[in-house]
Amino acid sequence: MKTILLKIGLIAIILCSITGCWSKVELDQRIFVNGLFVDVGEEPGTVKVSISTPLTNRLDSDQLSGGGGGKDKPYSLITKQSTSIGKALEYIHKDLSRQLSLSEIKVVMISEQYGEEGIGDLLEWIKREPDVPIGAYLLVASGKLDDAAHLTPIFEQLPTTVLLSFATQGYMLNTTIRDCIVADAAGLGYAATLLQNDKIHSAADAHKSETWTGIKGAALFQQGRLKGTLPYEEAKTIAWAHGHLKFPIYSVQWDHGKSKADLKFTYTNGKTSVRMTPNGPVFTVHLKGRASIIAKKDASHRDVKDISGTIMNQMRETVSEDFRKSIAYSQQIGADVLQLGFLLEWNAPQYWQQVKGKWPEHYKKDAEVRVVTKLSLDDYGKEY
Amino acid sequence: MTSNNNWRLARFAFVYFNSQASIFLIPELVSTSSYQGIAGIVFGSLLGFIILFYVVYVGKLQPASSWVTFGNRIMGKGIHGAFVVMLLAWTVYYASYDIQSFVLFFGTNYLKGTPPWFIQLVISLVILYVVQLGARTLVYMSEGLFLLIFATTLLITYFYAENANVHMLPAFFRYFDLPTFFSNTMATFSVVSEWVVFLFLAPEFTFGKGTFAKLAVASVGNSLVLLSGWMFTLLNFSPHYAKQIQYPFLEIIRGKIDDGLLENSAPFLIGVWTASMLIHCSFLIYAGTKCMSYFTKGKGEGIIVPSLTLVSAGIAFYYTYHLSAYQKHYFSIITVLVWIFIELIPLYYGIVAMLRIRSKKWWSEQS
Repeated sequence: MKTILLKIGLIAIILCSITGCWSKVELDQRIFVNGLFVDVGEEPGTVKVSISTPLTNRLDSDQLSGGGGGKDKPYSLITKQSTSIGKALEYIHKDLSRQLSLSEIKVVMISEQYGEEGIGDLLEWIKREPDVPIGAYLLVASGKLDDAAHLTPIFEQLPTTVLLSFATQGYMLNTTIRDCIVADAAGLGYAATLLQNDKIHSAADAHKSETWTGIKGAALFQQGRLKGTLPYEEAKTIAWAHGHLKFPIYSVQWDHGKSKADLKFTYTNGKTSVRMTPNGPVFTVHLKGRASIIAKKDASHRDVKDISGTIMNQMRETVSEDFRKSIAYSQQIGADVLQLGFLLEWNAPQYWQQVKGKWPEHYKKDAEVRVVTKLSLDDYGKEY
Repeated sequence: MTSNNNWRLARFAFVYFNSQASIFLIPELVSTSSYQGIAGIVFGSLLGFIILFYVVYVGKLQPASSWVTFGNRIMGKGIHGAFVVMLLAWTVYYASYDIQSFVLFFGTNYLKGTPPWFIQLVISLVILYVVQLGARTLVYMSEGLFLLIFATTLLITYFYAENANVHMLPAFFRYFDLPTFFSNTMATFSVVSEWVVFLFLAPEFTFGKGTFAKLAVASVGNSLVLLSGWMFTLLNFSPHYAKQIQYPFLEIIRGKIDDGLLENSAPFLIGVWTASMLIHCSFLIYAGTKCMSYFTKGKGEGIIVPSLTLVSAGIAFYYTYHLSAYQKHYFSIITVLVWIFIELIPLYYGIVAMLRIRSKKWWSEQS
């Protein structure tokens, strides 16, 4: 009997002590950061960090969206500056009545200027800090980061939800911090969605303007530094080559601009390959897609079935041209955003050994990148 | 000695090796392997079969008694005593690695703010309790865990495959250099060849017909888990980043931010790994206890178990406050070599036994 009691006592002690209560923080004593914004500080060598946190007491189920700029916004944005991200977060934390939880960060947004100075510190911090998920998405704001962080979430309650949708909906790139870290560790480049700010009239008060943020294009990085940006149409082909572009719409013209058509792609896919030749590697980017015609104006009033060949040829030419422009620009700035270096590392190890030390330079001057498009028409829309 | 018994041992072997192979060996392999781990893992695992063969061979010599008690008849009292001492030191030291790994693993990721000594105290109490229940309980405990670990392994493959970059696959067959192959083989071998402790399962569990085959199945299963874990770590992170992280599996799961409920499954998986680690650590202490009681002629096990656990926890406690020393010792080549030397013990006994034993009569003459 005595032993049984002893055993039960021991089990009870162990059970009670492994519940993690020693370091517990109650849910209502936490604030969950779901967006992190990083900019250069006002003084040289400093960094400006903002956190966006939902305010659960103001998240109202009746209020479906935050649009209209109600007085009580259901989120807060707190900003501090310091010499490092960790220190800035400490300054934020010390003034708060609750514990910061970084495990819910979904979006990390940086300013263009911070990107140009290098995001190495940010990536290093995320790599080491166990709480921050490396699956968080990276976005770049071309204008003022503060404005983008304060965007009006017309259809949502929180700005971070809008930012998250920019990354996940597939209209541009869905680059995560993990992608950046992996590419950086290998000495390759990457591209992230670039956003821009605008002003719109408030729905609630016509005299008031609100910040509107939307996709502008892509920011191209190499070795942790933002090297350049691509406009929307050209950036789309980079996203296409990465294999995740949703419903892109292209306009084509023929008959010297007298006839035109719009095509909406319902399926896109992209992949890259490399072939070794005596003159070095030749990279090929395969862009696949199936489209529907959503508008057509033909100067000679021909049916689509008679001119679909012309439309598709023009289509291929347009997509290829956009792609060539974007890849030429990425080569000009030496940013291997399609990570073609990996193809060499995986398929031609000996050649990679020779060039990996000077890969950005090699990519800039010697990489031959070809594009192959395989586009087809699914339907002509509702008309013949 | 029934077939059922053999399968039970196979399940125990799977659980025993699981946490070591998947949580701690993979980062070590990734840190040196670059793209060429397959050959090292396969070859290291194949070498493990040699040790397994000798463990079963030695175990079968006297199925009804433990190797500790009959080993002196093969090697002679002095040499056997020396081996038992070495094994005792190794089990206690290895168990301290387990405890410290556990503390670091939990402390870094979940129990921030909980002092390491408290985590150590709790683990030590659990180990103490489990070891006192004996080998039979340990093996039966692993029966239930086997199902959980098996199911988790399948579930986890889905996670790993989700973001895996399959275009990397050709690289696994295009890299090869001998030094890396050698170090991978050694690292794999040192972890998958810990069969020596299985000699302590007797007399509770006996080795007989079919034991080798069933344990070999468990070994193949573990090697497959190891191989797929290594592969998916690279496919997710590439070797350049993978070698920088301590717990790649955890990073894969915790890196998910839009998977709904599944993104929160990390604690469940960690619980399962922890259970496997507990079995591993407890069985090491159990083996150590049997070594010690060889010298005390089977007396005083009630004191030996807490003492060994205390020594293990003490070493772990030292490592907690000397983290760099722990990391250096854990990954040093000397550790690998010592491990291999200890794990080869069944081989030494097996070979000597093969040379000396001509007939069954020999045993009766010796005893």
